[in-house]
Amino acid sequence: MPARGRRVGGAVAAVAVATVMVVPFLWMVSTALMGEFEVLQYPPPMLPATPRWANFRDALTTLPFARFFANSLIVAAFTVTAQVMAGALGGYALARFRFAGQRAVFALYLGALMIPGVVLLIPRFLIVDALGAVDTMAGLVSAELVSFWGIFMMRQFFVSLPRELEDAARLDGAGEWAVFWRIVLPSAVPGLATFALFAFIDSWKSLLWPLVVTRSMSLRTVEVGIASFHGLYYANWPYQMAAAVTALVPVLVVFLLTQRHFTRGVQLTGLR
Amino acid sequence: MTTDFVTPARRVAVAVCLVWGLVVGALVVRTWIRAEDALAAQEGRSVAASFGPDFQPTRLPVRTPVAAGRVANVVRTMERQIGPAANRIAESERTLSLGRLWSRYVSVPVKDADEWDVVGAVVLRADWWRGVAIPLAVVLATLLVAATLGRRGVVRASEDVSTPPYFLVADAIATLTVGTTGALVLASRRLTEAAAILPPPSAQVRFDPLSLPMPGTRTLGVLLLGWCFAAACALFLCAWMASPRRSVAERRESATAWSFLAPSGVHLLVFTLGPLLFTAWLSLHPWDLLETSRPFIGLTNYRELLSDPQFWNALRNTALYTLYVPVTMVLALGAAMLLNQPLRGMRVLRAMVFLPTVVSYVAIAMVWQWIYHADYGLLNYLIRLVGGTGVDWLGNPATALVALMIVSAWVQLGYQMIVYLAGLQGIPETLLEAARLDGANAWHRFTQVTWPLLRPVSLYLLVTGIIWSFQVFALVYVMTEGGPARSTDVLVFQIYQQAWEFRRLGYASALSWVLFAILLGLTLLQWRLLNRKVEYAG
Repeated sequence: MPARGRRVGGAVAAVAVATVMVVPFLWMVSTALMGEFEVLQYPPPMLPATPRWANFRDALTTLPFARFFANSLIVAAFTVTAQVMAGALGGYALARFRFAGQRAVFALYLGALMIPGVVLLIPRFLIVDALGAVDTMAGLVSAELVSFWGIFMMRQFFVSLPRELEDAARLDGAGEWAVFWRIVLPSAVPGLATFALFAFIDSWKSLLWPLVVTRSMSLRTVEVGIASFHGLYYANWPYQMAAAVTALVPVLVVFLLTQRHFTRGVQLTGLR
Repeated sequence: MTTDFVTPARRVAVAVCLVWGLVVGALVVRTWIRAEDALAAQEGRSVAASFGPDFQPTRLPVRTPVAAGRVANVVRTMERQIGPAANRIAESERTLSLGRLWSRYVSVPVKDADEWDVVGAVVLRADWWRGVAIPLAVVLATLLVAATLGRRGVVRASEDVSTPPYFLVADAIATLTVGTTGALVLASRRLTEAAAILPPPSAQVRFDPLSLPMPGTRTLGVLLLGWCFAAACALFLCAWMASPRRSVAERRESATAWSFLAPSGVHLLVFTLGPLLFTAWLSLHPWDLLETSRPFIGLTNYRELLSDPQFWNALRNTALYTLYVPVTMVLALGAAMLLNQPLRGMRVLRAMVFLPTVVSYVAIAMVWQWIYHADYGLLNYLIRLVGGTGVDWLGNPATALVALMIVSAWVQLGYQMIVYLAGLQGIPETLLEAARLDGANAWHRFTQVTWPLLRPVSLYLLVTGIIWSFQVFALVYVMTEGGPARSTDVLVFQIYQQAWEFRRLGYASALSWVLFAILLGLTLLQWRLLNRKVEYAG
């Protein structure tokens, strides 16, 4: 049966592709559990002779990683909340209202979407410095409080929502804010959740801005923390891999729990 | 039913709990600060002890971040005089003194004029809340457990120390999370090891750019902020005036819309539009560290940039780097078609392919650096297994950029695959069925039906992929630092290096504008190609 054979072949190929994609992760975990000199062999051992869980403890106690994680979580909490709020407000305004200056605002926001963060790095730093916020949590968080990408994503989402309910509430005499809080936001939860996920991942992954705006060890995020750990323990691969694995875990958990939303989010924004 | 839940008694209970929590919190904060003071004094004493009985170390508790600027000279000389190899140790010393979690003190040794002997120590003290706000939550949570623990074991173990029990609790937590003594021992062992191994070029601890003060930006920044707000008002007024006479209802709707847009609008002005213009302004001035006067120099920065071979090198590398995008797209389309089969478990496979897209670049860079290892890396092992010869992937100027492109392809594949998947699922089954009835084979169905319908998707992926690849930084920063022989020096890394390592902010701003111009061109090209009109709300 050639059709059946083709189906099996396709399935095997799909599994093979997926496996190749996760090999680096498996390699990372395997190395993280080996001894420092155990990894320096040829041919490279595939699995540790005896898993050395102590690597994780040792690697994570050389720098205050608990602090780094706390910092990353705080930054993520602030940025996600702010981005979701600003995104919902802005997206709703762009999707529903007709107002003076609408064209200008739309063009400006679209323009902001095109400006890469790198270009703004230096002046943003100088502004944060002028506010006295370099090397503070406020400075760390400030630059990423609004995501214009998110505003447009939310706009797309609101455009796709029916507006009958809102109009009914307006007829009942509800003010615009009441409509937004009571009617629109609750029905937008799926969109908000998707956006929040992306915002969390982006915040967790961000390296350049935290690197530039913080100087003290106690304010470093996980990304900056493992980058400096990487510089310190260059020759010790198991330690490095242990640190890397630890940095991956939160994102991994979030991703595995919410994997469906990611697909939808990409499709919502990727194909406007 | 739910209203019965919130009885007055419950409210009182909650209030009492809150007050109790606050009181305990305040107590913990106070004792914590005292404990830290005691520790700092102890630190000072141990420094003194190592220099003999009649030596008195300088102890200057000063507040950061102002303090960091004030003692920056000291810190700078220290950084300068020890050279790259010992710099590792200097960095780790700072680590050590910060090793106690959320420590409020940092002690930095002060060297004498010939920079040989340690003559004292400067103790920097952080703002109190910075050290306390975060641990407070942890402390409150652990307090109950820790207090019981403390009564049983910890107090007895150190009866000779006359410290308050809370200090012991705090120390127990610190030891649990960081392990003060353990970390100290471990770190000193690691240091010895690290010093013994000659560091490869990219292993140097990076020069801490922020240890140098950035002079004379305060007033300008405030002016800039003022400008931003003025611009916001002007914009708003213009919009208001330009619009034709409107009814009351329309005016009200406008006001509501603007109030909804206010948060993002203010951020746009302060952190995007203002900075963009500021970059332009900076690029017309020689904004360097050593030069305090900053006259208007016109396009000199741009002229220098155009005659700088390093800029052209970076541009060439960036352009070459973008070539990974089309290659990845072909792979992604293949993967999407494979993973579009109606089989069980496909979701899991898609998640596996998508996984690299979400995880952190630094971790990715680290694991790939290990995979690329010339002697013990997985990749060279596999190559040798099939009979090839190993390559020093990241150490060879000919292959370093290719190595980075492979990693980027691996990262981007999942994203592109998902987008293609959406495109594939958007193709009506009837079209494919009709083609099948017309006798088209699989290849023809692909070239005649699938591919033409996927063209917009492909274009979108191509242009956004190129735009993204122009902004690559983390991989370069961690894996190669632009080396070897500047073969992976890309534009963003140049900007970072010029601004934060050489402190040439004016020149770096000029670079930024060039990058911006390129990206703007690409974006306009995208719109043109996709022929998509901007749709307005309505």
